[in-house]
Amino acid sequence: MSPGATAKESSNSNPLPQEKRTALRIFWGQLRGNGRNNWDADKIKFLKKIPFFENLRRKQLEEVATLVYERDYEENEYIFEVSQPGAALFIVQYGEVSVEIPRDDEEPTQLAVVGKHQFVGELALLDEAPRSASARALGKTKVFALFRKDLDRLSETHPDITSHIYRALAIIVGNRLKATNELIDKKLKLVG
Amino acid sequence: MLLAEQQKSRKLRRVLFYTGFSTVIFITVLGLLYGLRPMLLPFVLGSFLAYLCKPLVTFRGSPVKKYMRAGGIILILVTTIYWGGKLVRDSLPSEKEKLVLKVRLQYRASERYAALMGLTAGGKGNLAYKFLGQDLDPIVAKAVESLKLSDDEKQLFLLYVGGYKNEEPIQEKYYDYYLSNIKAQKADVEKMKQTNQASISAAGVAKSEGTAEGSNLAEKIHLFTTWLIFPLSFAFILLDKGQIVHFFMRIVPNRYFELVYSVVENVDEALGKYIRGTLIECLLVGLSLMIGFYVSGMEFKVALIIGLIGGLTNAIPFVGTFIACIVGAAYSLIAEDVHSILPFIDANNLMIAVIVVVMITHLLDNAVFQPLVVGSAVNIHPLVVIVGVFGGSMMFGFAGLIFAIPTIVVTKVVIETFYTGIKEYRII
Repeated sequence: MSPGATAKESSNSNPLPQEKRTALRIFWGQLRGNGRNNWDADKIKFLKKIPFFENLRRKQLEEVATLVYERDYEENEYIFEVSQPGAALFIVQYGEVSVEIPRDDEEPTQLAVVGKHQFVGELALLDEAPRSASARALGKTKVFALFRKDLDRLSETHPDITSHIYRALAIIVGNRLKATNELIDKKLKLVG
Repeated sequence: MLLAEQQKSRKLRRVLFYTGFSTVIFITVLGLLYGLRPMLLPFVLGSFLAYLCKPLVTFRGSPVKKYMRAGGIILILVTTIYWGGKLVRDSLPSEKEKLVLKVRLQYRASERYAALMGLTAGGKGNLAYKFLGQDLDPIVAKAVESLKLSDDEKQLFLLYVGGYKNEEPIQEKYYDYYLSNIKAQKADVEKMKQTNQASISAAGVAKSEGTAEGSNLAEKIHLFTTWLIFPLSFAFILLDKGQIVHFFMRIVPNRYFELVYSVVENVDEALGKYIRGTLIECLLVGLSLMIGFYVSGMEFKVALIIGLIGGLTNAIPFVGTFIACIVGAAYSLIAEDVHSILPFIDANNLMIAVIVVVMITHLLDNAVFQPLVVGSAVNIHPLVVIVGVFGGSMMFGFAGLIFAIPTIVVTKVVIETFYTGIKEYRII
């Protein structure tokens, strides 16, 4: 069965039209005092797809959503530059970001291109060490920024949320270390 | 080529738009601030108080919901303000007590000075008087002059002597002080005691109070509407989940985004630590002074008021304890019925006890309170604080007095963080 058919079936089984259901959802949402609207719901849905937050429950995601900042970047605009103090993690909402190391009088060395649902600058969540590379928007790009200090504060009030985030971060960093080790091993074998 | 020109033209339009828009916003904000200036103090005070109470809402561990906690804080705050205000208001001297206090101070200051200098019973003065008399005489005369009752106050005092406004008549002893003061001023006591004059002035006083009542109501309504913003700003800022900061961060250009966030965070951290720490320190100093003075034999009301003054002014380095010492010493001059828990303290050596209490409090403040509650949050030189507080009060009155220290802290942290930041982020 196609997804379109499922949607059609479910809308037929529900006697209320779509607009009325949306209005009711907003009304009950407001009445619950969550101050949540469609945009917030989309933001939460988006965050759920990011590895850091995939194990969080909806209520927990709502807490995280209040912390993230939304930023828009033009083409070739730098999100951060190498050697700057790291303060935030950036999650790409749409567009593409080039992770690169600038060279003197040369084209920068591109390490990776990061797209939707991917992120850059995750090590800034651990400490204030300078950025090891620059991140540049390759076109019109929208990102969510999550700051280390906000996460630190969240650890004091909601340690259950941050334990999930830090665990996910540890797994990501561990996988990257494994990949780097494998790469070094391959290179060594090639040289040998 | 055409594309480059288009881009250049677009950039120019953007600059023009942002400049025009910022100017309009700036003028509008200035106009609003000027138009709504009576509401400014309640708004800023409410926000400031909410900022101070914020950690109580966000603390960890309690299963109670955030809104319930916020409601609890508001309830506790309102109750504390009401009962605390009532206690302080009740402790403050009434119209009658103020008059008696002035008479007592004037009488006892002259008496103590005369006894100290050996001028009693027609004496010509002791050795101290011979050396210091010439310099001290005009100072004491000026101090006594400032305590002199005005003609209206004299009439009111005499009314209270006979029992006025359902109050107990003033004690005979204080009336004698009054007569003695008058004699010293060579005033015509008999003329002031004439019943007719007194009753005319009593009617005058009552009439003027009646006319004042109408304008008082309008004043109260105006005060209520102006201060309505206080609880509103308090509640909204207390419950804010960072939306205000998020709103302002939106207008920050991308290049300065992380830098501005770091500055805001550092200011918040430093300001919070410093202000909350200073407030707790003031409270502890005020409490220590109050307990010390009470144990020394001062009346509870008096100990509370002097402790309150000392605690409130303690935010200004050295000034708080100095003021408490001056006020305490001034009271010890007129104190008559001293019943201390410590048997060796009486009316004659109360001043020494006051000085000892102030010294112990000052030591406690330096050795325990400050390191414990303020720590090394922000290191501000005491001279900067003193100049800032006095300068602030001279320029902006009461508001300047309250917000001088927070402004100094914010300015210091912003300059420090911003200067380091713009270098680290390679803006300069």
